[in-house]
Amino acid sequence: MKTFLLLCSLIAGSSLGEILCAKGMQQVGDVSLRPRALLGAVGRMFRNPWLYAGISFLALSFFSFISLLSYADLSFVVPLTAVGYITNTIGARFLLKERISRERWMGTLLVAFGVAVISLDQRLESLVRAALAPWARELHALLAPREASGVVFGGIYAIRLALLICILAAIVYYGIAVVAGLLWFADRRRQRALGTAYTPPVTILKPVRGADTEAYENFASFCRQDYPTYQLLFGVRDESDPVVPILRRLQTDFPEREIEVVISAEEIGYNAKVSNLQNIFARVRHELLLIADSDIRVTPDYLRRVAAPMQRPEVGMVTCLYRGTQATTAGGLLENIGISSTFGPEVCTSRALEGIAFALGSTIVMRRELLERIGGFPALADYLADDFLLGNRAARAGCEVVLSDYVVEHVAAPDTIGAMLRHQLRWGRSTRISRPWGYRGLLLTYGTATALLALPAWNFAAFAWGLLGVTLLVRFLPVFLIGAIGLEDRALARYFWLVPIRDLITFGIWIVSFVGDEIEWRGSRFRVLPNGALAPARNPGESMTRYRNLFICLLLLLALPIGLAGCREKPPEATSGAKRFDLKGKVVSVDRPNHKVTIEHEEIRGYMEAMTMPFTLLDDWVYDELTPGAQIQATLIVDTGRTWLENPVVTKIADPSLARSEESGIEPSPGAEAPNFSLVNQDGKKIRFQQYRGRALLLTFIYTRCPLPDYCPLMCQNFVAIRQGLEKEPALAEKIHMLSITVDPEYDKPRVLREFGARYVGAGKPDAFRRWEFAGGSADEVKAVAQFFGLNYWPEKDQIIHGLRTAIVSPDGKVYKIYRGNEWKPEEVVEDLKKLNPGA
Amino acid sequence: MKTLIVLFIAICAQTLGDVFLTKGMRLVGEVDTLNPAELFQIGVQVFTTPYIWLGIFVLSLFFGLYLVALSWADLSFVLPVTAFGYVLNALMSWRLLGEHVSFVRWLGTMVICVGVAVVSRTEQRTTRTAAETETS
Repeated sequence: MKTFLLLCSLIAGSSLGEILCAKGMQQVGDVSLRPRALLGAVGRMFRNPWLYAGISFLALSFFSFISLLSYADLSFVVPLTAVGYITNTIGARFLLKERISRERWMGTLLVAFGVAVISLDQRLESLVRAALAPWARELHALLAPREASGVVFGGIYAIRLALLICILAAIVYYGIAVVAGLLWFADRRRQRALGTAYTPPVTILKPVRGADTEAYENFASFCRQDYPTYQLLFGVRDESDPVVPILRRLQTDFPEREIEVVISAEEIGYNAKVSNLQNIFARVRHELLLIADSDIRVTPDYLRRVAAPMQRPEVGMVTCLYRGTQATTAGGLLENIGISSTFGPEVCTSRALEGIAFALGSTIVMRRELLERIGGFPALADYLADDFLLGNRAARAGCEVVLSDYVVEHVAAPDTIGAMLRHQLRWGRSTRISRPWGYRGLLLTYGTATALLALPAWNFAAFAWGLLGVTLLVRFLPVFLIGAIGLEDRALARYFWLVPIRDLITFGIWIVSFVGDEIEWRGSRFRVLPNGALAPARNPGESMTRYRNLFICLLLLLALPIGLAGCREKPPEATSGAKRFDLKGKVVSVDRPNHKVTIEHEEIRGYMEAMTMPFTLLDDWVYDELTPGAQIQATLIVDTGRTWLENPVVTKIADPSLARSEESGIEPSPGAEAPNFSLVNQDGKKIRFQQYRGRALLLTFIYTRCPLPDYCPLMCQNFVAIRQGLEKEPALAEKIHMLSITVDPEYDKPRVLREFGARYVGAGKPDAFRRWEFAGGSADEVKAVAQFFGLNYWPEKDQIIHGLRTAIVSPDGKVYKIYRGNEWKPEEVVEDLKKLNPGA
Repeated sequence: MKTLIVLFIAICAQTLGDVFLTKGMRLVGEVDTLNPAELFQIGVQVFTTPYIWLGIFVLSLFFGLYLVALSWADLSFVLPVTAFGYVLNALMSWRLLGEHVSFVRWLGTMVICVGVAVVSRTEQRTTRTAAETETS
């Protein structure tokens, strides 16, 4: 109850305090930083009652905080500061009448979340470690190149990580596309349920230019509509256009239809199609408009089906997906495959994720009133993507844009591959410029390409092949569902194998489109402005900046092979005369930077008896699994004076949480203040670190039952050597105190320590332990000291697995130097002690 | 921009003040007694430690600047932006104090960075000040 009240006063106090202060400052008004004005403002601040109230509340919350801290666990109180950000913002919204935009809310929530994460730091850390450590280790092993180090290692690691993210994102995207396709199918069923009885008079606007493939058949399909009243308006820019005779024939062949051909070269902007539309707009007679590209073919029920959704009042626009048909060239075929495999799924996905905020030129049905409301055709005259914009503006005007259940047929032009590429590049550049981040994000949908790049990045390992296989498999799900079933692209059955090739082309175009901001369109060159509008192209060579992206691309492309070449850094090759032995043992310590592992090994038959010694082990990846206490098997190679381990197998991993902190070695840096630890010495007397102030304290960690000759016994022998070194200079010796701390205090009681220590300090002398003590204490006391010096240990069977730390604490109680492991020499320590006590 | 600069100085002052106070309190040592006489002695020690005075001074500078910023901008703008202090704090412990900064803490710091960036892009003042209300 007390806790609850204090908590309430903590949060309410700080929120109210902040709000009152803000209120007060609002009244004080904008404080100017000019000295005189500042003085005036300070005067006003001192007279402001709101400020006083605010500061009192802040003080109240501060004291609640202090009282809570005095008895509650800190880790439970501190995260609550995160809640403060939210309560304050709510308070500011209602009490201060501040307008809080969605963006600000998002930022504030992020901040609160971050603060909560930071304050839960340690708990989360251990939680995350326990839960994710095995995964992280797997992932790391997957990403770390085996035979590289340094910059090359980092580079390959980063490339692999980026590729993996891209591939996984693409797989997720393909999954989303499948779901989006199913959602579209469901919507198509709803649309069909509306029936085909809704038939208001329609005007069809068809801007045409040149004679497309089977132009007559395409146009005629629009004249054969099963629809009561509709007007067909064709717009042509030039009397001599080859399409004009075709249109004239159409008029004589379908005398029952109201067909009008408007020929006008008037221009309202760079986009000729929009000018064309504007020219025929004057002849429009009906309220409902349908704009359709010229190369579209439809069936007689088309008009009824695309008009049907318009009977719902919230619908402002209907647009149609299309399938490419009748490809006669490779370029046309690739274009069609792209529509079914990439474009269709993209449209479905954006429909499902954010609703359709665009339209496709194949069919746009809208009311005349809406067109005029969003600015009419003149508003689109300078844009390349007129159809996209029309839908976008309709959606922004609050209308629903519907993707029709009808899929029109797009009769492919006999394009060469070059023409297809130019067309794709035009689209890519203009999209990149008008939506830079969305366009960059497309990379996450290019699974085929990124999975293919993964092959060299992983040196064609089985993993990369598996990844490619899975990606391609998932890739075909949306192709099949949306391309084959949804768009009814029959060519897919024969040419499905072109999909990956088409994907690679798309990827290539994506990369190339980052270079330059000019496009070629209907024979003229234009520059795309950041808002998507067109402007005349620059004179050649006028500006070099547009080649900046090209340089970046080239650099990236260069970096890849260089990075991969680094992979070839091989470990030493054994010569034919090399001898090989099987080694089996337990890892005692790991020195990753120097690629050394100290192993307590069993007898190596024919080479050496069982002992503990360091070995060279070059394979970087093993070090993630190597922790003190782990069992290891490997081949020991002895070759002309060099020895190293190969084919390591780590069979048992020690407790990872302990081992990990051993590895990371959180130890104090020199100059850190050593806390006043308390321990119990060999005489059973309590000792505290403070009592050694004025002398340098040389300490190390041991335990009496330690079986490893180069561990605890070595430490003790080193200390004996140091002592002998010091005895040569009595003045110095007076200034040094040595302390061996046991990590096995359960067993190493004072009596045991005394017996053990006597072997080293010399038995029988009355003041033998005066300058060298052996200390234990409670398990917690010892642990605290060990942790401070970055030493971890844990019992296993009746041994203690431990690292080695030896440290000097200077006379003023600060850490002076820490020696890791057992490589240090007694003489070094003596030298360091001399440096620390120059006078003596 | 003016607000952001003043807030940045304020945040630096806050971080610095915290460091001074911590340093001062470490010099005083751990308070592990409840004996009134010793407590009094510790109290005297606290108020004779220059680091603590320095800390208090820098912290009051922070509060002043914070109030000045509040006179220019929304509370809902200023408050999240001051969370940038956590970022400075992490950097400081890492570089200056040589402490180990855990991965989770870096993660939280990064999230705060993004949050602050988002908030700092929003309009700073959405209410009218007293002066504006009077003149309008």
